[in-house]
Amino acid sequence: MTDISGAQAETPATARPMGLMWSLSPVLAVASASIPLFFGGDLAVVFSMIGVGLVTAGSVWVMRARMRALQAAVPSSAALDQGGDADALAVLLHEILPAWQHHVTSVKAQTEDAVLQLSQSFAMVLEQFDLAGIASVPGARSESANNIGLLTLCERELQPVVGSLQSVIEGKDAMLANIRHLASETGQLRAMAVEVGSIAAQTNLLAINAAIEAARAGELGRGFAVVAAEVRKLSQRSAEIGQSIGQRVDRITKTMDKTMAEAEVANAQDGMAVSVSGTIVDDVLKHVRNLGTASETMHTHGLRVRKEVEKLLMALQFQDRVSQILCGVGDDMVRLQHTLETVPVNALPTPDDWLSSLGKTYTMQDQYHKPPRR
Amino acid sequence: MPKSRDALKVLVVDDDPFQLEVIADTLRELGVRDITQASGGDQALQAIKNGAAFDLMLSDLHMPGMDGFQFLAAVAQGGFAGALIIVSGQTSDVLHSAALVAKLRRFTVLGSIPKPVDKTVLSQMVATLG
Repeated sequence: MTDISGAQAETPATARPMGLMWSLSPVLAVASASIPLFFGGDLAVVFSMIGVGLVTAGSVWVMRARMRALQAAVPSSAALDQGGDADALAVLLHEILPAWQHHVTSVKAQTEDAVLQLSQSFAMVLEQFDLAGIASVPGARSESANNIGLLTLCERELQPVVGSLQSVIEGKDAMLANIRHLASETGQLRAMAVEVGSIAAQTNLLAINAAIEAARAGELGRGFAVVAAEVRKLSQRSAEIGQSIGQRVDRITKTMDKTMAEAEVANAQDGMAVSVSGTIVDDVLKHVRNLGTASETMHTHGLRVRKEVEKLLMALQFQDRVSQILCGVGDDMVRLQHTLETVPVNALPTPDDWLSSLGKTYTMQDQYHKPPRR
Repeated sequence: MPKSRDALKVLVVDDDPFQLEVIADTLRELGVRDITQASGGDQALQAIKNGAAFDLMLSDLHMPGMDGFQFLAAVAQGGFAGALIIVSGQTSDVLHSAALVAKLRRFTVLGSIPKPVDKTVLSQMVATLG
């Protein structure tokens, strides 16, 4: 603050009384503006406006004069009287520079820590993306390809299941056809049993006739009568066997009819089960397809997020530049401190020399600083 | 053989007591008198095991312990002769799949009703019982 007041002390003497006078200009302007409040009429307004205009123009002129005076004072501060002020500045800088340095180091450390933490977090996010199979590397496509592969796999595995169930039903159909064929065969068997019965009856009749004829022949026919009696017995046994065959065939036919009826009911149920199984397979495949689509969408969005995170990670590399520049500033402060300690005030390097040696540490074009025109 | 509504024996299975009451009330309004409420699969299986010949069962799908699919599998093993209505707050996809699985398990599936239960829909389904 003392420096600034020192610079003001260098203001040319001519500017001082004018400055004092014109520093009252706001009061004059307000006073001019308030003229119409006290004196009514158009003329008062005109006077007021002229007054405000004059005071404002005067203020602007004085301000410009002061600015010029201040600018003139700056070069003269380079030629400070070699004693008091320059030494005071050196002492001040000696005290202040370490504080600035401390701040620069602290800023550097804090941003470095924070950026390191951010980088680590983002790197972990990327790692999680990798684990979730969302990778920007060429393996990425294989993930969605895997989903499609899984779907095809399901189709390939499940369709044959339905197919094999169908073939079981078809096998059963063939068996049913065989049973139906057997049923017709037993029908014929029944007819044959009836035939056997009728042959037995006819044989019996013949035997009776033979017995009658044998009786007529008297003594000569006695042997023949014995034969006729035996034939009759045989025919009766044949009739019994024929009847028994008939009964058995009837029983078989009944069992077969029952089996057929049950098999047909079971067949209808199995057919229904197979058709429902087919629908279930389609249903499951639909679910798998939906899952695949959902996972594909998730993958697409995940990939987008991943790319953004990668960009963020790249952007965080600004920290390197920040650290570099802060390092440069810190080093330069040390240099300034060292120079102030070792070089007498009157032998200090010129700003241009200083900046050119600072410029040697620059690594990037954007570090070059254009001093403001004086 | 069709039964009149007041002769129907109905079993309602839901883990939510409020839902149980709402469905039972709706059934009562439709003229059903014999209603058994079960708060879960185990309780329902016990009721069936005790020999009650239910003509109709309304079952939820999402239940703690034994879920609807497991419950239906267990009921099917015991040979359930009654009809089935699936009542659930799940998406239509899940309802459709559950109905298919129940059909495969030889249930007479009258249909599936999303929650909250619509009285008209329930009435139409019960009407198909005769």
